[in-house]
Amino acid sequence: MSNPMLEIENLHVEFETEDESVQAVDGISFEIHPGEVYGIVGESGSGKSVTALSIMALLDSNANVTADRVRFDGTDLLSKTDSEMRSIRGGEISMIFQDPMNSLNPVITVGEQIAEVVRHHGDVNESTNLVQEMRRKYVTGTSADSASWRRAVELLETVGIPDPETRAQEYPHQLSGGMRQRVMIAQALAGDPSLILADEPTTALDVSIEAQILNQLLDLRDEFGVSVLLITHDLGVVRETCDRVAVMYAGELMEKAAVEELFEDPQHPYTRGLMQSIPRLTDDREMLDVIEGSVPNLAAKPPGCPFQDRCAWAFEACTQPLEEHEVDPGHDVACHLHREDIPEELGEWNSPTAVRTDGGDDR
Amino acid sequence: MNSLESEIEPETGTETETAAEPLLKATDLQKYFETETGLTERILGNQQYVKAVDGVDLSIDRQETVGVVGESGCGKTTLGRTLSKLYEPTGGTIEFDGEDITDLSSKELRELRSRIQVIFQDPLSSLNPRKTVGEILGKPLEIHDIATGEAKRERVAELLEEVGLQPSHASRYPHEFSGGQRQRIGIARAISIEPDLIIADEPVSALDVSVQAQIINMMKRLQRKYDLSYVFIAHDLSVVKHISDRVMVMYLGNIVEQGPKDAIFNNPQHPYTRALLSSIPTIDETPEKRRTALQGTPPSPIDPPSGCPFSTRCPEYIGPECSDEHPELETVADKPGSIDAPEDVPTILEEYESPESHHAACHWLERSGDERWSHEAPAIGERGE
Ligand SMILES: Nc1ncnc2c1ncn2[C@@H]1O[C@H](COP(=O)(O)OP(=O)(O)OP(=O)(O)O)[C@@H](O)[C@H]1O
Ligand code: SF4
Ligand code: SF4
Ligand SMILES: [Mg+2]
Repeated sequence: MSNPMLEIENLHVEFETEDESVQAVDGISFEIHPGEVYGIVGESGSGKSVTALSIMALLDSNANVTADRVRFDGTDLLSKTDSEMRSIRGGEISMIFQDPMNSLNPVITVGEQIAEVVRHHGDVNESTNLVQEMRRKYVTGTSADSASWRRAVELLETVGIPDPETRAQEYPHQLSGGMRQRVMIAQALAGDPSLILADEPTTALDVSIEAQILNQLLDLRDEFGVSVLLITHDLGVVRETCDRVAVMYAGELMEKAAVEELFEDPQHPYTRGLMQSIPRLTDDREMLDVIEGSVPNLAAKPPGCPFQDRCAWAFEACTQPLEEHEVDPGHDVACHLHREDIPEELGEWNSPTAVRTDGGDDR
Repeated sequence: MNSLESEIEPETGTETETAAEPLLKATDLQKYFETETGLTERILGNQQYVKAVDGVDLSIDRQETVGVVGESGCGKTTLGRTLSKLYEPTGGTIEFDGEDITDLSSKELRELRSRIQVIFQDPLSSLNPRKTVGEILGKPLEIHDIATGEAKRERVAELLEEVGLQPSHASRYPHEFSGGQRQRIGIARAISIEPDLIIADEPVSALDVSVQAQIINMMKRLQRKYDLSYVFIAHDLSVVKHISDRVMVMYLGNIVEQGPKDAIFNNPQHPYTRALLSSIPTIDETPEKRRTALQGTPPSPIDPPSGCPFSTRCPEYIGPECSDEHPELETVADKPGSIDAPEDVPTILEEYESPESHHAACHWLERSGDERWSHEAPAIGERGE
């Protein structure tokens, strides 16, 4: 197997606030291979975005990031200086956010915003001297007729924007939400990245636009071989877009598997609970199967499994530190039910029909 | 305040009530918004309008849940707000419990508020941040003369338990709760005065999957207990299917298809419904690639297409009639052009017979199903105006 594009080992991110310290990411490990779409799925607050931001070194100063290893294409990112990271961001690694309005500049044309990335990270041999840049951005509004501008228009076309020459000269507010999201993808591609971190790139969009954009992302992967880390809370998006996936809960990865395997044969009580709690077009249930309770406070997580307060199968061992069990090649599960020595009466947990919820009540 | 209210005879209308009479009925409902227009334009009479709701008929039965689905900007929220009289309708009529409520005075409106309640997508913005939960829930009980003093406190405690919170939560402020808990508070407030109808606008869209399921189950339980009717507005078709009895599909201010949920999900007839159902991400199966039956984005509601509202994007576009003639809602069962569900839509019923109450607005209904299957629509750029 080829060397991973991204390797994360034992990543921790802790936020110090005035009176407590919050374990936002708590010892996670995963790797992404070249040309792979890797999903991280989890509920809000589970640490998905913090994971991506820590890879990009974009977290606030009250974040304390530690890891045994954060390697991108074989090089260690943890030892990079700020300025080295700055040149990697938007270049070899780029990021797409949920809300493009927060990351696009409202007073610069979208074409120029893409062209700027091209000049800084591509090899178009155009000056990026400050005066020139200011003139382009705020005076002429476009750098039309330059190589970087032509490349920007090309990229807008690549991401499926109709009439790219005209659109390139428009400002973000003149575009629809779906088009802005495409502009972000074009911008993310402008530096010729090998890895794109996409944080809920379609969450704010309607299903029809979402389908168009995710397809676009897959096409780009096929065409340019980029690796993608796709962060989402939507299991349907994971199933239809990703190759492999990790399920995140309270800062920890509960289960990692190839997408098919995760959906056909989930091996963690949380993963199963999630799948049973969503309504499907093909089901006829009167009531949904609910995971009781709510996520633990990240400043005071219980020792052992973070899911223990809500898990219908929890037993004594669950207060002990979790380990990953490889249940199948490439399928890792962090749950004590996969130990050899579980109590006999829990043996049934793994039968496909075993559901331990009170099936209906919501409390 | 109380003396003012007692002047209005509460119209119960229960004697005249029959099973067939809907709780709420809207006829040709319209809501237009003025766009920002310069003074000269206005003097010249060039005021433009956003036709957010453009001639909608609908009825809601007692204890029924009607789901409203559609893409963002299709007018779902505006429809909900107009039905609950948060917006003044531009045209059409609304009857509630047999009484015309289209032009109520503000006094009469207060009476209506105790019978129609609204739940919003973002509970935080609709809960006063400076009031405790006890005050938030207690206020409507006083305004509507339901309970005061000790009785009020008891009722608040009951309501909190009803929505899965603790009585002790009454002394806390909204920001001290999670999103899911806040939505529970919003629901407690809505049911506190025992309304007949709750209009819920994307009530679970902002919530996590596991919390969504909790709230949906709770809404179902409360519906039975309090005999509620719901209008459930959402963009998530799976959620709408789960909770609704009947579903209305909206596009550009129009209802394009409506019917019992089995009709909409097992026997969709309108090309928009069919395309929408095909593009839902699903965990049920693994297609090669997400289907993209729906291209482009909806046109502006300021200047909607003159014929069929869907004609600029329709994957089954027929010809000039689509661009010129606005199709009306027709009973599917009476028409020759009805066809099976698309293959890529996961359905549970093998065969489905469309009932009288299943309506769609598309010119295909007048034609034949066979012709429709083999039809290839002209490319979007090659359609007449
Ligand atoms: N107060 C207003 N003034 C002007 N236009 C408005 C106003 N409220 C809504 N609109 C417009 O009416 C149309 C329908 O809006 P509405 O909010 O009902 O859509 P929606 O289906 O609820 O969308 P979403 O799912 O994004 O909330 C949109 O074009 C919107 O911009
Ligand atoms: S470790 Fe224990 S509490 Fe955690 S998921 Fe497994 S059984 Fe449940
Ligand atoms: S009337 Fe024509 S354009 Fe409209 S939905 Fe039917 S086929 Fe499509
Ligand atoms: Mg809305």
